[in-house]
Amino acid sequence: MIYSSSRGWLAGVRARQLLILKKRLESVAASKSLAPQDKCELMIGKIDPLEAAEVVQNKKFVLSPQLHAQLRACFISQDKLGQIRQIALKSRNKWRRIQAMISLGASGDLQAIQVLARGLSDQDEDVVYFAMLALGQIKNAQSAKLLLEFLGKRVYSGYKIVSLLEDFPDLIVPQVIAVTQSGDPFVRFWCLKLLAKFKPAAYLEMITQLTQDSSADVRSAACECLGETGQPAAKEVLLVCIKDEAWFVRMRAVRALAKILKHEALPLITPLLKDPDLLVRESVKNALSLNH
Amino acid sequence: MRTDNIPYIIFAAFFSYFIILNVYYVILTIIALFESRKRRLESAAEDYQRLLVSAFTLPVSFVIPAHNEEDWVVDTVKSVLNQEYPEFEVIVVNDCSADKTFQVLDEFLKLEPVEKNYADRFTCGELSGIFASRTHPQVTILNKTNGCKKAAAVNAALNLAKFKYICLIDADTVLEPDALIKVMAQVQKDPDKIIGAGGYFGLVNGFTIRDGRVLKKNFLQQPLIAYQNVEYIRSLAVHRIAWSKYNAMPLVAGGFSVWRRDILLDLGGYSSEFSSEDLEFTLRAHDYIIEKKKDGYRILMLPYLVGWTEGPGNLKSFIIQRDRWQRVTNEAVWKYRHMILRPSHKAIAFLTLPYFLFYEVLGVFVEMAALALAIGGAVSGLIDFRVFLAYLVFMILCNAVISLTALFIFVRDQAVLKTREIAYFILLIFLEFFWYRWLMTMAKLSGTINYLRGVRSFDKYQRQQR
Repeated sequence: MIYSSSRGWLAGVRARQLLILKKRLESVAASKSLAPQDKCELMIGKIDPLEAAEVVQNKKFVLSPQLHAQLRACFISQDKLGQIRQIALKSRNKWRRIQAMISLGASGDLQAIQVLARGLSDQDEDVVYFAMLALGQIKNAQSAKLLLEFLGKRVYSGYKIVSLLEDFPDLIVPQVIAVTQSGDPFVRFWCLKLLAKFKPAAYLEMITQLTQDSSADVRSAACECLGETGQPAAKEVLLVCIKDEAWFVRMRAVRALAKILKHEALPLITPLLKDPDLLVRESVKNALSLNH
Repeated sequence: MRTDNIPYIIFAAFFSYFIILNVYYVILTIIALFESRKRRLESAAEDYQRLLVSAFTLPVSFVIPAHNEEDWVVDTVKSVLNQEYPEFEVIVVNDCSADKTFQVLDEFLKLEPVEKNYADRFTCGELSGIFASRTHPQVTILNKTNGCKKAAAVNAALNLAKFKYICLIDADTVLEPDALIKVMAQVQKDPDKIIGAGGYFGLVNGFTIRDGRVLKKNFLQQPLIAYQNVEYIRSLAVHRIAWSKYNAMPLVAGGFSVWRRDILLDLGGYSSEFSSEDLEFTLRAHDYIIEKKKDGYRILMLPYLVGWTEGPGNLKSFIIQRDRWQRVTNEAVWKYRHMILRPSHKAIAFLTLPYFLFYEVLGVFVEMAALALAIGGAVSGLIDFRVFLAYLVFMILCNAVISLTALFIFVRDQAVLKTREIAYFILLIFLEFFWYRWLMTMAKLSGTINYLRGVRSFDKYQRQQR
């Protein structure tokens, strides 16, 4: 009861503090007598770096665009990010380190990548996990490279890592294509799943080669990826895949053909209505109903 | 041995039992204190928004078996449809309902018969029809008219479920909108290893619900319901969280459980041979995976409030429910007795199952014997009345400390209870020993007797009027 009451009271105090802080920030920003450097010092100089990051990221309350821009400039000039990087590296409180990593990710700080890379090889699984999430927020080639390397370590699932990479800019596609040559079928599979999101028509030949992969999972992902590219040139290779020994490769190939060729695929896939596997037959039925 | 020492030896035996049990609880409580906090911080830092829009978030098949659930089933389905989750399907099995379960579903979902490839892998009884919703395309209704049992109903839905993970919920459970995303965010970290997961739920009795959403929570209910909430808190916030840390979770409760579909299929689905399914299935899953020598599998209990379920609102219903729970405990412990203290089964063999055997199964005899001996001893003068009283106070305080710590963990990590509700629960905790505990013991005794008589039915208690 005491805990609950005190928590409610603390929440109230915190809300009031934030309101006071907001008013102070507004009055300092509006002041004409202060030099910009002094304004920065007064605005966020003495605030805890993680709290300052929260304010700058507009997490607790909405700031006007002008004030937000001013605060952001102060945040950089006061090297708050440098302080946060130090917290992420050195704090003894694990959850403070994690909070710092999340802040670094949200700020898109390019220098933070080295810090987060170290987080990926930390002993503590929570630190590793949140370093990975933070890297997923810095959407550039360097963080993509780290995440693709991390995929091969199999610390977290392909689902999780690929979901971080799916909204990266297209510039990472060549990197992902390069990793499809990995010796690990798990990595090849997830790279193809990721590539399907980017629909990389320019790399049709490399993806086509993976339909001959020794791993059935990789072959099926390659068929899915070809289907997403929507290139009619993939027709011939997909016609080979509908005869694959693995049912899920046949299923993906049927879906891909239907996606690329629309109603023209129907005569090609109709024989698979006699496929021994139920799900392959279901895929053909779905294709027939969608394209009729 | 001198005969006048016998009462002391008996007293020492009971006292040792009590002390061992309480030391066990204290250890679990300490583990839960840290584990629950870790999970809360983990959840606070998780990026749920990303999961909500990702094409790689694992889709889930909801399975809802419904037998005579006309009062609840629509709210349950609505609460599932309200889930903030990118992709899921819902399969409701109308399991031989004699009431208007199908009609209310039809009214809400605008059902029409459909033809689907349905192959019965579990011999779970014939279907009289498969229906799809015109308004909610992700919902399918299976109508069952024979082979009526919850396990068979769940298995029928498994025949049709298409996604990698299955979320089983009861037809009287109302989910929180973020229930699935919170649980699946953890599952998605390692779907190759995480085969099952569960979350917290409490009693919905007395809540205001509209369109599958809880509008007003009220925990200031009659003592029977409030005590069940306290018991849920103790069990979920302490025992299961601590067991889960060491992968020794014996029970992912049927009210809300997420299972990987391949495990459900490999194990032949739920079993109809038991009075209830969840405990038996969880133990079977542990046993199966360990026997297959698959290392690193996980069954998780996550301290996130996922939903609210209806609990028995009167003594008769309460006894019926707890009688069944006791029967299934006895059935499962007996069936999986080979796992107890077996080194290959690790924590579940040493941390959980011995507790189930000595407390959940045999505890009822110990408690009844202790009560009879204590009262008999005090009345006959064999036990000094002051010793009896001191022992009683000690027991109450031990029980209270453990329950209060569980309540503290719950209040700390879940912003649900108001101050006056916490005060009410604290008061109830101190009074629990005087009636609720003995009510549970009586229900357990009834369940044990029925188990020995061979009763294996799924006795459903009377629903409260809404």
